[in-house]
Amino acid sequence: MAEQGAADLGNNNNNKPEASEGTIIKVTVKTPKDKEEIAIAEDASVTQFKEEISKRFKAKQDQLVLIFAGKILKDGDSLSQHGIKDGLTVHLVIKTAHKAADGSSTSASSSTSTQAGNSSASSPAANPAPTTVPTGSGQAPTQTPNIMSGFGDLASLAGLGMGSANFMELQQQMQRQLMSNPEMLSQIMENPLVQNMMSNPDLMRQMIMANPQMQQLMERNPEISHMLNNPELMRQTMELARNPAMMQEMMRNQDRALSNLESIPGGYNALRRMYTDIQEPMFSAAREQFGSNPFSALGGNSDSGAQPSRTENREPLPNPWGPPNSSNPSESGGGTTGSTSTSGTTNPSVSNPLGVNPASLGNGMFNSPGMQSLLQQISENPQLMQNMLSAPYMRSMMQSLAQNPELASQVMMNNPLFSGNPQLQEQFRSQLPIFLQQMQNPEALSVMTNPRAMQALMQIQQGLQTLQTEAPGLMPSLMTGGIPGVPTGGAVPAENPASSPSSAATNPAQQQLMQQMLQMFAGGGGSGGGNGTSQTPEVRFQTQLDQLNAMGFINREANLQALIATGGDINAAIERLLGSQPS
Amino acid sequence: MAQNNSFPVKLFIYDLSGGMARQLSPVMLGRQLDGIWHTGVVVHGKEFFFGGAGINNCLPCGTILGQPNSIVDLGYTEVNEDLFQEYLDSLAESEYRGDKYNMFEHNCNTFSNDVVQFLTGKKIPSYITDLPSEILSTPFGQAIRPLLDSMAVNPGGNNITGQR
Repeated sequence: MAEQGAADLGNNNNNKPEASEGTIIKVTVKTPKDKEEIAIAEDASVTQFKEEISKRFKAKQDQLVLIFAGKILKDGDSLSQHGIKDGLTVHLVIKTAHKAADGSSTSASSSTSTQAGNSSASSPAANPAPTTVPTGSGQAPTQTPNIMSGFGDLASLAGLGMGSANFMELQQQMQRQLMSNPEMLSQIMENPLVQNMMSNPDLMRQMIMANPQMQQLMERNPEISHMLNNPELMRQTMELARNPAMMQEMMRNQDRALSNLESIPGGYNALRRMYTDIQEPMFSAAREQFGSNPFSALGGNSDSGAQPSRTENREPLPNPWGPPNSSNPSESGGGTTGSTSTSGTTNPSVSNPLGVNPASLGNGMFNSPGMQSLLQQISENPQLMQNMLSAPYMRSMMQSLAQNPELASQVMMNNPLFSGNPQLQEQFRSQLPIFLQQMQNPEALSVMTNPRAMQALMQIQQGLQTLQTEAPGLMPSLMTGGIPGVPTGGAVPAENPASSPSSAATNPAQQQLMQQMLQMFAGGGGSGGGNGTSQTPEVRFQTQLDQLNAMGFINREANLQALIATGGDINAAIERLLGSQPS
Repeated sequence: MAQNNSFPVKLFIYDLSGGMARQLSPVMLGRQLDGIWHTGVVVHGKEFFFGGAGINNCLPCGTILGQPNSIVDLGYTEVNEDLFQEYLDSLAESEYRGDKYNMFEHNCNTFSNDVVQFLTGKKIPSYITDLPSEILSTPFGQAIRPLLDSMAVNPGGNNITGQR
């Protein structure tokens, strides 16, 4: 029985006639460089096999070394003895001629290969090496620079102490190192891999959403998903995350601002509520991956029961000598319960590697009861307003709002103050750019922070409103972009009683206040009613300047300064000027 | 030729990510990867691996990676050291030159797989060889593919086969 279709293979010599009548099997013979399929009789001997191979590979038989399943096939063996069957692969090494002939040179080459033992990082617990002895050749053990560079960006990972086989340990180690060494975080951030990742907003969103805790969080607070879906915001956030200096700056701003907020009576409560509502679950979500949430303890410490600021604080103040981070005795007057440290609300960079800015959670913030009570207090106490606005936090938020009109409009629309009043919303929206510009205008800010000015403005507005109702014909001549608020101002009080029962959370007084604020700002803040917006101080104080000039104050610059400082109040300006001049 | 010696063959498996892959992969990739595996074959008292510079060898556990995460015992081989060295030389001239390194398709694990098959006829565990395709099957993997293609893992080793 000879050839059975083995001719299909294209082999010229299939069976040697000497091979007895076994079936032909096709065995793959693989060298490091090459691979061939050889047909051979099943019961052939290794010698015969080698003959075939030598023809195919054009090598001498004694150069061939066949290995199968870890065993070297000796000439006397047969293929079946080794279990070589159809379709299996046999490895072949073709010894190069001079090495085959010269055993001593082979041993010489092998000894050179064993010579250069890498002893730098070798640990004694390695496999015992009976056959090789590191001859302690002059190879420098310090290959660390090579390794580090050759290892690419993974080197920093390796340096984290990969000696530990326990993953949890490794993680915690990494975390500890990150926390203790901000440099490392910046290094990681500088890693192009990370940066590539960060610059792709879709990717970031995917990553965030893939986290199950995050998903839970999003279900509870849909505002967060809004935030995530806003690509502009994401990009800003990622910019922030990418630039550690910026992030630190922002952190510091936030810290300062938060401490300012804290000093507002009742503001502390609001803060805490804010924290527990939003930030804590977010942090837990982010942190759970990295280990336990150290802030959960803090959250648990917080007292329940938010009391409005005006009532006396009946809860015992925390122990100022208590364990750090769990108590924050605040000395400000009567309304603060200081058991939760505000540092819990800051964003350590590890737990918040995405640099999520809680200020951007503005949508959620304004809707939370904490913020509402805050607003309530603000409206009842203009002093608060001053404090709040002087916080750098507000300033940066204003800036970001100004740059991002969409976000600002979103934020404002969700403001409960406006929720019952679509007309107001419309109006606000249309005036939003002006509003924001005004916010940027430091003069407007200074006016806002000047309580007397605020009161004066309010009086003016009230006067205008009264005028409006009494003598509607008089008003049209004074209308500018801002004053259209006034007619609706007249309508608002009428609407309010109707709307306030419908909107459970809004306070008609608040709405009115917002209304007035809006008008004030749109009206160019500080001008005597009816003037255009964002005029230069010179123009605005023209009449006053003239008066001062007439009185003998010739120094226009000083006059202007004084007027600006006092918001147009001539008497106060004169006092200022007199105070600065000896005469 | 008295080659009846049996030499033990072991596979050293290292996790290049130091545990981070296990933690971050569900978030980043959307699937669970227990590690980014690098392997080396330990036989004849040396650890052999393939890196950006070519086939390297060093003393076992002698790379920057230190101790392996796990060691798989692959049995014994009759291939003695000379033969093995010749085999490696051939490889180094052909398939496993330094410039043939590709992080996804022709990496240290490819090498280990081939060597181990040569020595013992067995393959290395499939979770290691499946890793590149697992990564590439995620959108994240596709996204960072160009970056990874340009990287090479080279844990060091001062003895490079085939380079003269």
